[in-house]
Amino acid sequence: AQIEITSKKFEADQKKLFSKFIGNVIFKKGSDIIKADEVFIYFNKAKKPQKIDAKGHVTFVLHDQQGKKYKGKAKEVIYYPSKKEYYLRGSVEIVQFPQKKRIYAQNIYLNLQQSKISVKGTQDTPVKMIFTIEEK
Amino acid sequence: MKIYIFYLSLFGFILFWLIFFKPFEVEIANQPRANVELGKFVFSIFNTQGMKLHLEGDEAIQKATTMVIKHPRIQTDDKKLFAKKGVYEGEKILKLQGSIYYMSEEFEFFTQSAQYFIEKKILYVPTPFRVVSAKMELNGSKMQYYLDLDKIVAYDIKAIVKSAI
Repeated sequence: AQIEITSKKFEADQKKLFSKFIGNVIFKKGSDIIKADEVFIYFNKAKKPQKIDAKGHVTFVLHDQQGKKYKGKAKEVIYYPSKKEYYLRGSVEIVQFPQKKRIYAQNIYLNLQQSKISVKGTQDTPVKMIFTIEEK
Repeated sequence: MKIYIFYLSLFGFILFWLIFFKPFEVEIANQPRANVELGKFVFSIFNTQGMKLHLEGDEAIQKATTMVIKHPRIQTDDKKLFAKKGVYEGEKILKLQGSIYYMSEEFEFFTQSAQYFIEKKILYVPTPFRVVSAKMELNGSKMQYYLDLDKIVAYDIKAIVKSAI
């Protein structure tokens, strides 16, 4: 799927494999959406995006292969297109649908291909998870 | 006596000349210097660092320090810039209008108006533009391209990153 990005400003140094989108950045890939203050795209030598780094007031809606949806926010979201991996950093909050499981952590790793999520807290801010249990 | 008559007539002649011929009244020509019309031409400017500008065109009319050019073309080793019309203003700026096309190894772009600041080698595009490169296609409202730095700064952007995986 192609990536579509809109922003207030754009800067690129043609020789360096690096482009910068600044101000009200909206990043769309298929049904996934990431919004941020700034987005940096790093290209490999074949000029394909190899790393996408969204910074500042990041909000996202992501979908994995099994139809689960992850909606949330973070200070920074790093995305590796080739492996469909996301690293969410800084006061991360995620709500996972349809179960509506809520996760609060400092670092979350999300692999949409394998529908895998791993969560890591820090010394002073442990992971917090809230999910509803159906009692029969 | 004769000498007085001579001086008197000389004085009279000068008086007559001043009154009727007004030699000190200089009329400033409002017409600029004569136009120079060129057919197909190549125009290059050099400075101590080498070629500053290599400008070609199909036709041009030069008025004073301004040259109006039909189909201007700027070419350097790996960069090309074309337009329908250009106005070259005394070694400082080249204003381009209509079907502007720029091409380099890295990207090409299309727009309708641009100003090339020759000294600083900055291309300023005040109108909507489209940039196409191997990495992405970019549309925006205006942009600046720094030729020496090979750097683009653009505004109100919509980009399609083509080769996404």
